[in-house]
Amino acid sequence: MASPLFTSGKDLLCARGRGQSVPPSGEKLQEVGGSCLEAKQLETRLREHQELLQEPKVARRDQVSKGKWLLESRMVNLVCHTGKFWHYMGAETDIGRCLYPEEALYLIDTGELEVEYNGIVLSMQQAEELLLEDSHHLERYLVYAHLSRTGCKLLYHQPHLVFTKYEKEIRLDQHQSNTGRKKLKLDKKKIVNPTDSCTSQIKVEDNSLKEFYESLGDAAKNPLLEEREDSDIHCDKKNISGDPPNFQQKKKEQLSDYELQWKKLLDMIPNMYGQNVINVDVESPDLLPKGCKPIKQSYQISQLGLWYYSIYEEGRPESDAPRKQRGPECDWGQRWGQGNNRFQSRTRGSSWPDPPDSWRDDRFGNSVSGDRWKDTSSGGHDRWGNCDGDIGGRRWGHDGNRWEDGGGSNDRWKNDGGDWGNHWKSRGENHREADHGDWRSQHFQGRDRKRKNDYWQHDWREPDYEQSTNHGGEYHNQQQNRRDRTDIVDYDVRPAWKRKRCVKRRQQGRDCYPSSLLWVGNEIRSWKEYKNHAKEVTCTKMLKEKMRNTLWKGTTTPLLKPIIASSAEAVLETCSLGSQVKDWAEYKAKVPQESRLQVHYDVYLPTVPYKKTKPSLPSKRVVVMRDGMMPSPGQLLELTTRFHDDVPVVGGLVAGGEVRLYTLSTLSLPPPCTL
Amino acid sequence: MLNEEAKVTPEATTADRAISFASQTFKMAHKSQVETVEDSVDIQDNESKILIPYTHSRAQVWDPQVTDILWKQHRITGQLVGALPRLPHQSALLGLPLSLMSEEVKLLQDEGIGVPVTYMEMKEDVKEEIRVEFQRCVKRCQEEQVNEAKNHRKREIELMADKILDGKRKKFEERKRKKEEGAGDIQGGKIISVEIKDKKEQESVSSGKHNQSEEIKEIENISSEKITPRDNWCQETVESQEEEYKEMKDCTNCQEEEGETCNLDREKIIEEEVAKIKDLQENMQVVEIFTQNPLISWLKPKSHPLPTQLKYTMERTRYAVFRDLWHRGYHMTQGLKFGGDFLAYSGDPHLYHACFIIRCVEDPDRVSMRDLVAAVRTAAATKKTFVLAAIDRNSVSEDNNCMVKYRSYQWAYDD
Repeated sequence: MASPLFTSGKDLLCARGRGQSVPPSGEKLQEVGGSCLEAKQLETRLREHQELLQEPKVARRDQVSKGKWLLESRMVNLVCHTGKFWHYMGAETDIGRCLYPEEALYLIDTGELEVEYNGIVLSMQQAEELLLEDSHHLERYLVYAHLSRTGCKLLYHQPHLVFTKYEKEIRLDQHQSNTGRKKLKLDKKKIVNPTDSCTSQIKVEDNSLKEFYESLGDAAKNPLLEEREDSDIHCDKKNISGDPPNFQQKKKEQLSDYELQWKKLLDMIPNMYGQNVINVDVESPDLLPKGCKPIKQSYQISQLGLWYYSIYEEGRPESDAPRKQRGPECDWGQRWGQGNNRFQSRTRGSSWPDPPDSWRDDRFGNSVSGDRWKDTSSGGHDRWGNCDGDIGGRRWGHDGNRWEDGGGSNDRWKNDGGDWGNHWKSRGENHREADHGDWRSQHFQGRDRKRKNDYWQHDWREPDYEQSTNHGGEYHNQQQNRRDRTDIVDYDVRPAWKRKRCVKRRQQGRDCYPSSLLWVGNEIRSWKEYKNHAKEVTCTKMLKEKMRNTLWKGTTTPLLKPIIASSAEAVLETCSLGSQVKDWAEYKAKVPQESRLQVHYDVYLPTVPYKKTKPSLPSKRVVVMRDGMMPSPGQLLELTTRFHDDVPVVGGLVAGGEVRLYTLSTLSLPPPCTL
Repeated sequence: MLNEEAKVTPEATTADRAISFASQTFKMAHKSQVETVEDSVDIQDNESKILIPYTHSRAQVWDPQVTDILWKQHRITGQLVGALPRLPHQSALLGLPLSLMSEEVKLLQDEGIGVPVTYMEMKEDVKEEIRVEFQRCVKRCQEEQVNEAKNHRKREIELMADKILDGKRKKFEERKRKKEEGAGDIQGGKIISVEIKDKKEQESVSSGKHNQSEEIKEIENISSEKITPRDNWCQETVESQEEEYKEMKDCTNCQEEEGETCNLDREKIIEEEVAKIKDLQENMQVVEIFTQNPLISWLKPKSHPLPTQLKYTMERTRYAVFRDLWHRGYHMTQGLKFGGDFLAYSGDPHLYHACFIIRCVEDPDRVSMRDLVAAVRTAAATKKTFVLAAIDRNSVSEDNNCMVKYRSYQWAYDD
């Protein structure tokens, strides 16, 4: 075994006192002369350079920071630190101060940091292997080190410093800068991977932004947050969680039996397969309400979960939902499940004793027939209508034939369980109002969203429901059977937590919209948009009234609405007939989605002051190209126009270890001189 | 040599008229060996070869000695990408590792000079034996530092022994003089207290009753009162006072023993000074931050398989050109900074400028004239010659031997 490459203590002490200057590099020669003098010159230069390379990298023990490499979180936890690098490096986490891999590597390279892993101090060679993930990460580090050596301060790209025009108008930028940075969650059980490619642009720095959106309530949604919620489900397996702090607090609360059972069921939904799981295919986009975009083409839904939803759906805390439903990109499969809950609550009399297995048969095959089926379905439709008031008439009539098949349709529900939800969902108000007006007026008169809780009690607890159904006796028997059962959870009793939350919710005014407010399926970013939308809906309603509603009957409906027919120009603009390409350069520089660049670092030049707690706009944004590919002007231009500030974007390129930087700067030509 | 070069006249109105080129095809029969790579290289059989470690698919040399060999013996220049140990916060002169181009690595392998390897163990958990060895080496290094610091101090004392001796003699004479000048009953021990504490002088002189042992006690009391663990400076001060006091006490004892004569010995002084040397404090020790893994020899390298066949035509062209020019005796480096693929140096890049900007193309006839003018102009401004290099398609044989043809362009100035 060869001896380790440790420098002796004597040489280390000698190196401590060595000079800090580099021998001047002499001028280079243009041509090879072949003289002895040249040979000596060359030999001297090579020897000097070699001596410089062979010098050990040393530092006094009390002047070296120390850290530990956290493999799971891929960060270096600082055990003790000296020097000023903390002013522009690292991040505060719940386990202390941590450095990102590039920062740690650079500090190791400059002899300012010792990183320990598995009981040994990492060398630069080993640290590159461990800390960096792939060849592109190595290229990013080389660009980072190159710019850092010149005195620039580099930070991971800070998306929370990028604001749209509207966000600036509402002074979100000031809010962001005043909020400061939040601590990263690096706890072993909940690890956020900052270098994960899927979330690299959504950094944890945007916690304050998330908090801001939460403070706005359900009316506003944070697009970044939604993306993260989607990814959370996938990240759970890796012990990676992006749960907001509030959610984590809720987890710590004492859960009741109902909640435990409920959570258990919810957890089963995505993983449960077999006869209790049904597949629901999403309708084609033209049949979905306007502005709705399904996330998946099909959904697997647990019947047991749905059955349980039917009982406690209304008081379901949002944080425990598998996916939050906000805005146009809501999970339609789940929304469908919610809509069905009303239906299930009406028909529980027949289906209650054996909910999961006989649910389908009892509801659709045996007990549900004719009016009964239609009656019970109206609840779900009503809710559906409230959820989305813009359901088109064309879609409503789509499955009318199938619906009205009577017994035949029932068989169809049974056989094609995966599809029935959509057929049911696609039913419309016309059908409901025409056929079940009486029933509805008797039992659901005056019901609206703000009376949701009262309504729950009304149709669940009060005996008048029993009188209104044809299965009163059966209901009593089943109630008795149900009480005899030795289930842990007594579904008769409305859980205390639910009542409490309802009260709280009513007090807070959350989720209890005044009836005058309009339900909007889209994201509304300003009052102006909301007003326009309200106006449009009002106009549509007007057109549907009286004689004018004939316009909306049949398959052909008016193309233009009054709201968009204010002027000829507006009509042409809506039809995209008169639109002009305003920015020709931008049009030419359109770049395919796959080749769009991603910003990696924000650069602050040495002359620009930087404050970690209140960062200003960066001097440059750096994109590191992959595999030595040159950035095209279109790519750089597309990236520059993605931001609404004047920060130039620089493309970094590593070829053979050499770092080259390219940028595209706009040039305004001076006006021609007139003599 | 590339002696026939096209002349470009800046006055020409069109690109066709402005650029004329003369091409010369060099047909040197050599094997390009584009597809030659052993799938697995037995490292044991290649002990004489240079091991080229791969880190994340990039070849990087971490050993300064290997770097020296590559530079001096094999004309492989590479690119330093690390920080220089002496001056890390600058980018003019860089340090290890030495990053190598893929063409350089392939050439080293094809020529039988080096073997690309990876150290998979560096990504895995550290073995216990390696950890123990590392700790042992660190401890040994610390002990060496302590010993070296002692030896260094000893050497300093030996060098300074005469001065120390003179100083002690002077002190003794001073004391003796003061003793003679002062009252006969004032003892030398009081002089010592004068140097340590001014207030004590007056008290001792006025009373004249304190003896040496009492004063020692007083100083000890003062020391114990003043020292607080939080005040390091105070600690040091008191320690220095104590040391001085002990020194004086020794002298006094010496004086008492030997009467009024000063009988200080050089060797004795050195012994006394050496005995006072303390161990190098831990926070004052020096730690080494390793660039290369210090226990690299304990790890087993695995051969890093290079692609058996270069996929793209451009890759093949680049390698063929690189290899051909290297065989001609040129030093080759990355040429991106001048808009080319390579820079060819007629001598070592440490001393000489590049003479050619090489751009590899698949078909030299399809190069845009505008690009050519721009490239030639850039080369002319940097006192270089722009060269287009391509594989001669007519010369590619079945065993993948190929020849490279070059076209050089030079900007012509009107005299």
